[in-house]
Amino acid sequence: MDSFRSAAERLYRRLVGLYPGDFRAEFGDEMRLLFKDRSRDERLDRLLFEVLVDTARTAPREHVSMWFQDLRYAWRSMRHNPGFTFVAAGSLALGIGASAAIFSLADALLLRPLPVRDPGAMVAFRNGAEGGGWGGQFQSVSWLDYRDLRERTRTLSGLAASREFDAALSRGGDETLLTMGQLVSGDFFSVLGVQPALGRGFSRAEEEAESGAPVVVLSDATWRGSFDADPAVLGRTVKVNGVALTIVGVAPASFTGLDLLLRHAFYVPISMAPALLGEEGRAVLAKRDWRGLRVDGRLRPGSSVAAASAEIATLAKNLAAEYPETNRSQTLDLRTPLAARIESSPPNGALVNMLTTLVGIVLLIACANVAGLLVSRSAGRSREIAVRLAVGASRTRLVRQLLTESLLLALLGGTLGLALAFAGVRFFRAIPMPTDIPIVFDARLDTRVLAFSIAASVASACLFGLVPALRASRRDLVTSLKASASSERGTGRILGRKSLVVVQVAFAVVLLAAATSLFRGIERTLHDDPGFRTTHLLTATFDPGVRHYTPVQVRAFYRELLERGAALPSVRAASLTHAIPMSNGQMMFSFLPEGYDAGPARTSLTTFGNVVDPGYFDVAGVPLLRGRAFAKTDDAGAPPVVIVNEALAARYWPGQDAIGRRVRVGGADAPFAEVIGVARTHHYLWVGETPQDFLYRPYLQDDSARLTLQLLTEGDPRDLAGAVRGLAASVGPDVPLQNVVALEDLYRARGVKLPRMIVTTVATMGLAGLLLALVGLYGLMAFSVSQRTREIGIRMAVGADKRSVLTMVLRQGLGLALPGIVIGLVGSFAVAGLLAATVAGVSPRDPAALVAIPVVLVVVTMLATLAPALRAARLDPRDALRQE
Amino acid sequence: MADIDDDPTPESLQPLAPAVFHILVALAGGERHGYSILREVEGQTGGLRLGPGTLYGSIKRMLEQGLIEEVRAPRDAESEDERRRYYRLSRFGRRVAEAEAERLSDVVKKARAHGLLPQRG
Repeated sequence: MDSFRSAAERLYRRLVGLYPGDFRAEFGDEMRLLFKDRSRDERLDRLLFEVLVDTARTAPREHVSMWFQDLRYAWRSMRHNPGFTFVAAGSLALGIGASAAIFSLADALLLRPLPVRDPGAMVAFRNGAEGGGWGGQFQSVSWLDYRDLRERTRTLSGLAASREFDAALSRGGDETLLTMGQLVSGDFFSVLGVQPALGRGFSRAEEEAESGAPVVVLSDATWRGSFDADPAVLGRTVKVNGVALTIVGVAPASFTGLDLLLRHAFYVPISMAPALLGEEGRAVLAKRDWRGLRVDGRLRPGSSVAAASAEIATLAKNLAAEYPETNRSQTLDLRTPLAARIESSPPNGALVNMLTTLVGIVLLIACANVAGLLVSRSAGRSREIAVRLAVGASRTRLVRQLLTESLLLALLGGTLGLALAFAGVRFFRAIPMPTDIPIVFDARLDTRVLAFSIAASVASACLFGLVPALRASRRDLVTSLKASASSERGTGRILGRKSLVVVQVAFAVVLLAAATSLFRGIERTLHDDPGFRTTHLLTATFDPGVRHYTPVQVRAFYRELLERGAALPSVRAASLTHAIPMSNGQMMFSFLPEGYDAGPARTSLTTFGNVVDPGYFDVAGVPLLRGRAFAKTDDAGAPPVVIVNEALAARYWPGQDAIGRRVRVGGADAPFAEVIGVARTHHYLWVGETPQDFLYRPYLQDDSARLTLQLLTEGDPRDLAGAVRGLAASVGPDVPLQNVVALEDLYRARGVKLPRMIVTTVATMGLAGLLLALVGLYGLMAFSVSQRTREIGIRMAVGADKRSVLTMVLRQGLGLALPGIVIGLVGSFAVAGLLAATVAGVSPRDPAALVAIPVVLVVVTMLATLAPALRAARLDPRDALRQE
Repeated sequence: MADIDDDPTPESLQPLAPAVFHILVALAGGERHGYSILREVEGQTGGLRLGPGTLYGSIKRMLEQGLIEEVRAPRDAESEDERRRYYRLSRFGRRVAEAEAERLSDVVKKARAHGLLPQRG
């Protein structure tokens, strides 16, 4: 019986262990004693049952009640210090809100994973022989190479090939939607792990069908937009580029396509390429050197990106040996989807990099602020904490309580921050996309942004909550109890806070300098002549290619369009161009100046370029500095010619005349073209770009069927929109027409509004940094004055006047700001250098930034210090001395 | 940890949890330790036994609310009992107990008026 009893006592000891530590420390012994007493007097089995039930009921309650007590305590202490709470939570809200907003932007531009099953296992094929920039390298696998790779790989479980193309989509009837579709391999959906919401994906048989399989899978958006989400859509027919296709499936809403921004309207098996694209389509399937497919691979479980990349590189080498004619200089390797996005869009990478760096600085300043506030408050609270330790509160409990307080603060800041982030996302969503092409800039606050904000708040709570908490609770009881608030022990802490404030000011200077030079740089560029005409121009884009016009028909179509366009009333001139400056449809060319060594394993370089007609340079207002414009005689039968811009000429023929030089435009077997003119360099992609190489080809020597008509008008070009539509309907009623807009509107959206948004974003961060640093400085000065009340009182008692006290405090504030300003200016040199290299017009040593920012900061420091200084000067020495 | 900023009134604590009221009543006769409270409550309620968690959870909250106070073990306690903690009613606790008894007796009066109890005398 006794052994049973001692076993029961041991069991109860265990049960008591389930209560919170503080409760145990207070009542654990008592409870065990009570159990022992009762076990002597009562039936043991009944007693055991009772205490089991009792523990199950009361132990959780004690935990919850302790937690609530911590929360209540934290809440009360926040409510009693509204100023502190406001400043601390506000600082965090700024930091967290800014980082969540920037994260949303980065997410929409770069980071969001592919909308496929297990996106972490996806890899992108990169062609090392193609030039870099704008995704060229990632859309450069040929169909025949793809089929061989698919058979031979052992590290990838599947390869999905795709190729986007311009398409005219109609449901029958006469309404036609000019959009973009994708040609895909038969296993596209199965490799991506995308299960169609309706119907099915494609099969290998449909991919290989000799004359093409006329089937189509619609995107969710097309299904909803053009078919009213009709569940009976399967089996119906749509026409793509005039070819009837049977709908066999609808992609799920979650699958928005492989591109972050571009939304494809539908998917067709690649065997349809000849039927849909004509000559080019036949080349897609038949020619090993027609390299224009995007290939996404899925790693086999257990294989790494590095191993798979090495294998693909070897396989590419084998192909080069087997097919030296076409594959001699070809190399392939793999990238993660994120790396591929960054490599294929360096400007986005740079933008995200710059913004995340800046926002990281804002977050740091915010955390420094809160840390500073908490540290100085912990000084004020050390007495309270010591008292509570003396009356028996455990240290862990105290640390927990202080942590709860920081956590609550962080959550409050996080919630406010999320509200700010919402505002930021709304701002970013307004990024203009003035085009009919289905591009969606999908910035949104999703669960990952939410997770990011919560992680940021909790991390900062631990960061700034734990250190003061541990420090405060480790203090020596006796000295704390004896010490007054102004004790000498405060010095170390003040020194820590001083360095925090210096760092904050330095960061604020860096932020402001970056914002100022970016602002001035971009504003300067915007005031400058963009280098091309932006007013009195109406544009309209045509694509007879989707109607299977032959090259001869295409030429006839555009000839008539030009002639009749120029004859419209109030039109001064008409011209044709493939790309409009700063719009999305920029062209890339492979090229090689004659005799230029592109380096080992590279047969060509890449540059931006355009295809234009003879009248383009006059109409677009791009001056030719040397040589001549294209002529009507520069056609397919004449020797190939090309016009380059100053930047390209200066790069490859520095100090020499470019006229008469020869450039190969296209692949290794393309003929050399003679340079007949040099055009002035202007901004091609956005106003902030550094000078870009650029070349022009005559449209009669290029087979591109998609061209934009530009009309130079006497009056408001918008008045002519109707006339242009009428003209289009009469010249080619079946040719889809797109983007009938005034160039001025395009330019304002892409050339002016977008850069201004970036500037606004950076400026907002600069101001946030300044505000935060100001608050930090004010907090420290106010704290320091309250600590020095007695000292100031003595000074005044022995004859110091108000004026000298005021100067003393102001000088102390300046003493903090000046080192910060100096350090910040040094740091901003580095940042400005970086900015100047990526954004045109930014000068690395902007005098305005160098002079204005220190002045602004000194003024702001004075303001932040003024209130505490006045308080000090107004002290009554008698009160100050009596305070002790 | 006591609330200093909002002094509670006896009424603000009503209605008391049954365990709390029973403990107050048990301590009305003088200071007791935990086991003794338990036995007293068992006696005054005709068999209600408070589990150790319930008992000390209530004691903890009553200490925090200032209803009871801990006292040194009385001199004459047996040697073993010196390890035990003794509690007694605070002045505030007594007021709360009185108010609650008053409230309950009103309830009983009403019950009687409605014929739930035989009319007195």
